[in-house]
Amino acid sequence: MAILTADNVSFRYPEEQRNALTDVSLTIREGEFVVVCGASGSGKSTLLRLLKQAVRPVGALSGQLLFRGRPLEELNEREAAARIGLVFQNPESQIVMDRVWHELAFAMENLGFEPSLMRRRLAEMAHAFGLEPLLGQSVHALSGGQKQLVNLASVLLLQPDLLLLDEPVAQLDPVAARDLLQLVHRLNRECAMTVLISEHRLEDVSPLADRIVYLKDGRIAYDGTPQEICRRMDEAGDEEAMRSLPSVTRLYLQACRLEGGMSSADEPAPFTVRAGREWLLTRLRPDGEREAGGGAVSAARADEASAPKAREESHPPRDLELEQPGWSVRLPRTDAGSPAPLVECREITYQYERGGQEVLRKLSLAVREGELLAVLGGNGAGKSTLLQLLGGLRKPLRGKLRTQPGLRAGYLPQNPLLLFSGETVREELAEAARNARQPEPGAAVADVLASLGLEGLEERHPYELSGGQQQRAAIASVLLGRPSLLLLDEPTKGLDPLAKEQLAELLEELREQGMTIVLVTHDVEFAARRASRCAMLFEGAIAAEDAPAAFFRDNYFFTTAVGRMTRGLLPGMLTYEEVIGRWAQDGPSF
Amino acid sequence: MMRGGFASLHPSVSFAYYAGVLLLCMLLLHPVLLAVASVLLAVLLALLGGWRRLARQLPGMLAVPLAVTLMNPLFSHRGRHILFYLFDQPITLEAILYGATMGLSLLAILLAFASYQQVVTTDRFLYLFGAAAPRLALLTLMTVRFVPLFRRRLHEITAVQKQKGISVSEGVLRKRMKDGMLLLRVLLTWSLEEALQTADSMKARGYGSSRRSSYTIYRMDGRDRLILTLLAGLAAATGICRAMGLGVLTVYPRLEPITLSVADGACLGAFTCFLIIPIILEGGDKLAWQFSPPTM
Amino acid sequence: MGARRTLLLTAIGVFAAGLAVSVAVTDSHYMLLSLVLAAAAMAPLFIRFERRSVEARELVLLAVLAAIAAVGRVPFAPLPSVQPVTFVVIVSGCVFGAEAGFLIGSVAALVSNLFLGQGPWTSWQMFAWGMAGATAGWWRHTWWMNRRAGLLLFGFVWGFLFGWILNIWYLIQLPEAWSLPLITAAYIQSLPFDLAHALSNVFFLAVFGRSWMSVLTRFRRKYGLLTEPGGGPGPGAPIR
Repeated sequence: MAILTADNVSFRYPEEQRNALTDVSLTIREGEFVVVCGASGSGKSTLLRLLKQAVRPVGALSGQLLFRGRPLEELNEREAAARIGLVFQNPESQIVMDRVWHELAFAMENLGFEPSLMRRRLAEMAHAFGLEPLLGQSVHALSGGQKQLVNLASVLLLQPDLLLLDEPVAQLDPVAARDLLQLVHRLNRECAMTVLISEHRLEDVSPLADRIVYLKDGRIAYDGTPQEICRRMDEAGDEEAMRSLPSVTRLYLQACRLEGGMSSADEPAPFTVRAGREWLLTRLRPDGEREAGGGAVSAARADEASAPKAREESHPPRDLELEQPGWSVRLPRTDAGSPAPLVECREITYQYERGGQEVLRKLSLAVREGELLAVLGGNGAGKSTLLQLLGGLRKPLRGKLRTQPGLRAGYLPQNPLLLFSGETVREELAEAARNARQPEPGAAVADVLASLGLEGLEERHPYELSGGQQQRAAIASVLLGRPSLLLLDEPTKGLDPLAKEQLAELLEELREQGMTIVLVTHDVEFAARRASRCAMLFEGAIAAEDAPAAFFRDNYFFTTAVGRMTRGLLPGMLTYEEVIGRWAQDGPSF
Repeated sequence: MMRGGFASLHPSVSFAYYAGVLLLCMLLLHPVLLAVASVLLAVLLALLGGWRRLARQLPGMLAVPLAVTLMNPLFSHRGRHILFYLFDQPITLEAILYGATMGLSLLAILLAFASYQQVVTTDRFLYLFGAAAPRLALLTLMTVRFVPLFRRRLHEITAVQKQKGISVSEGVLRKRMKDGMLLLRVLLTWSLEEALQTADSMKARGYGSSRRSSYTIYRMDGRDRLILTLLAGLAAATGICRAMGLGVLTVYPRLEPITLSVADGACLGAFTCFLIIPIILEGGDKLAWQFSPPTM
Repeated sequence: MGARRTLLLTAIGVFAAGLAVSVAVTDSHYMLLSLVLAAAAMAPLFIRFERRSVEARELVLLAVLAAIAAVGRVPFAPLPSVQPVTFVVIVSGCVFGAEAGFLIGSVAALVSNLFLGQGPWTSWQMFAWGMAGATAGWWRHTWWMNRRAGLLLFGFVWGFLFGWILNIWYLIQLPEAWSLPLITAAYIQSLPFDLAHALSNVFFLAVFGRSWMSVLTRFRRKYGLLTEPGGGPGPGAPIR
């Protein structure tokens, strides 16, 4: 039975030339787990908000939306609030109350529930979600993941039939993101809750989804099971859409192409590392089919036993990786013997307040000229603090911080909005140019606008730009200060694959012009692909630093999906481009 | 944060206590009674927050009461007992006593407010306040939730904007004031933008769709009822004494002796019993923990 | 439930008022009376807010502005007796009207004291800042408020009024000494603070008044709230 039907729905925001949604027809069955995918601005959020009357945007709507066969508009406010739950993207701004228990109860209070009913539901929910230790806490003490969990729980206390999630994990770190998705998946499996979730990356959600709806410019471009949509994207040769697929799947599709054909319907495309590895094993050795048929267990055994055995005659297994000619160690561009570093920290310690916890503890790190250093690490490991210290925005409590004389650093905060104080992009940039005493501010602004692709947006308010544009505008403002060291805090957070690609290209260009870049990130894929050096921050100090290939090769969990898939088989390969490049050169019979 | 003792009572009981204290300290205008009240309230404050903290807070709390005590005889010259002349103005005993009474009343009130702050915490206050004015309480709660968030944001903004040379801690006064306001404007714009989502999240969770109810984590138990009855009885007894003209020092038109009559003593007794209940609860709790055998 | 509560509250209110009056008359002790009067002065606006329907967006907007006003004390901590609360309240009143200005001012006072310490002064601060916001809202369409000089003068006057209102809370304890010399002494003693307050209001209004108002006006549109059809007082400023 259909819980939700959209029939030729089109929507246009006031004062817009284009439709945000065009002829969207969609049926969602009870108990389905559906992912709405698409780039920023493809209409994902608009679609979800149209389904929730209380937050329906103003604009021209045509077509019909039915909830269990009744027009959505016929639901009264109470019913609509309880039956359809909506969780938004930003964990912080959804919270209304000061204490966790009060925030959880907020939705029930709004519907005027009896105290005894509220108490029972809250007890049940706290128990099921393991929220008891958080109940009495202030919401300010929670991590982003916990906040989002509280937001989800508060909505679930109304026991909705349909759960809408608008990019719920875009602002979370990967671990918290996976936890939250697993929880939603559990709700779907164990309570048969219908889930409609929007995402611009399929990496984590596609293995959970029954169905994926891919939106492009407000139209449904693909709709089907993960298998179906990936095949259709492949058939259409839709590179842009394929960017949102998991890297394992992309690798598979590319490899199939190299083999001279399309992926075939009878071989399912891999969406998980495990499936990808099974597939890879069938390709690596001619006798692979037999073992891959045996599933994961035999595949794992094959990895341990037969794979090294195949080459055992010529190489002892331990040194396999290093000695394979041409393969493994894509030696990094380490400039070990380069001149004095741009910035050097020696055993620096930092804490925010006297008697507080030491955020950084005897940390030593050198930033070399021309590199792109990616600092990785868990939540609250002090990554942002480290950047601010490198940029001279904070002073270390102890230890030495030596910077090259005359070094100018530009710091880009995680949220670019922090940097803006002007009313328009132009005003913002003009002020930045003035602050930096640019000799010809006007020309400098025009220059930076052009090089960052911001033309046409000069008169817009910074807040009215898209996430990617805001970031570029903020980079423009920082660049006007003519820094030679650029410090970026989580620059890929919340960006869709295309915007991420553009950012990577921009950083590459800046490096070619001689800029040194340090960024902190949770994004392993980005670091592996773009950094020239990676460092791991742990317990306030650098636990490991190396070129990406060496840095990630030995990691078991903390590496790219392709790295995990090819472990021991194609050592040192971290990105799907590397594997495909190799594949194109040597053919599939490694 | 759970604690035993006085602060573990139902909010309405502790609130009733402080309401009673404020009222009685304004009504019982007798220096002896008010001095006793001040001492007891200071002890309560120390039991709640520690003696060291009391020592730190006390000078600040004494300033205004002291000023009131001194200013009254300087500006009021009523009374028959002229003690001496200052700048040709008579300083009377009546004026000094009256000023002292008013100062002590103020001191007791300030001490009560200080311990009130620790017992009736924001949550508890808004729970009570929510019964009277639910919407205003909701608005206040939301503001309370925003304050620490905005503080954190402001710190972030301050750190980031420093690279543009915007800072409140350096430069001439004019520039510092300007920069402070600039930082605040960034906070304003950012927060108003984000708050749109807060409003959406409220609406998505049914705000405005029905009459709100309120969830509470406080439950009135037997002990709460007992103590509330006790407090009410003692307050009523003190009030009746006061209505009979006891427990107040008549200064004008004719100064009565400052010593307490037996009847005044009864009034003081009831008042002291009223004041001492939280001290017993708080002190008893402390002692119980001190002498309980270690559990490990 | 609602009716019973209203009845109870009214009973408490009447009792407190009666007691306050009797104490004031018989013992010339005015503190209780003053607290009751401050509460009574604020009650109509609060009751109105309780009774009408309030959109989520309006509530959030009021909370944000009240919190900004309260937090505004933080960045200025290094500068003695410079605080932007009055500025934020006046500007909010000018853009969103009298009721919003009043609520923002009084809630900001209440909340900042939750963090800084409550006392008998809380109700006076609530009243003073509330009235600063309300008067800014009431007079926002007059010709003189729309002049730069008028607005600056308004801020200057409120800097003093605020201090004068706050002096009441302890002067009320000295009924026997009330006299011109006492009042003068008290106000001379607070003059430096009041002057600093008034001058910082003028400075903030002169340098930032326009830009803050334009930010707030933009958000008023964006929130789709508190708009004024045809220039007359809208739902945000129904009381004149």
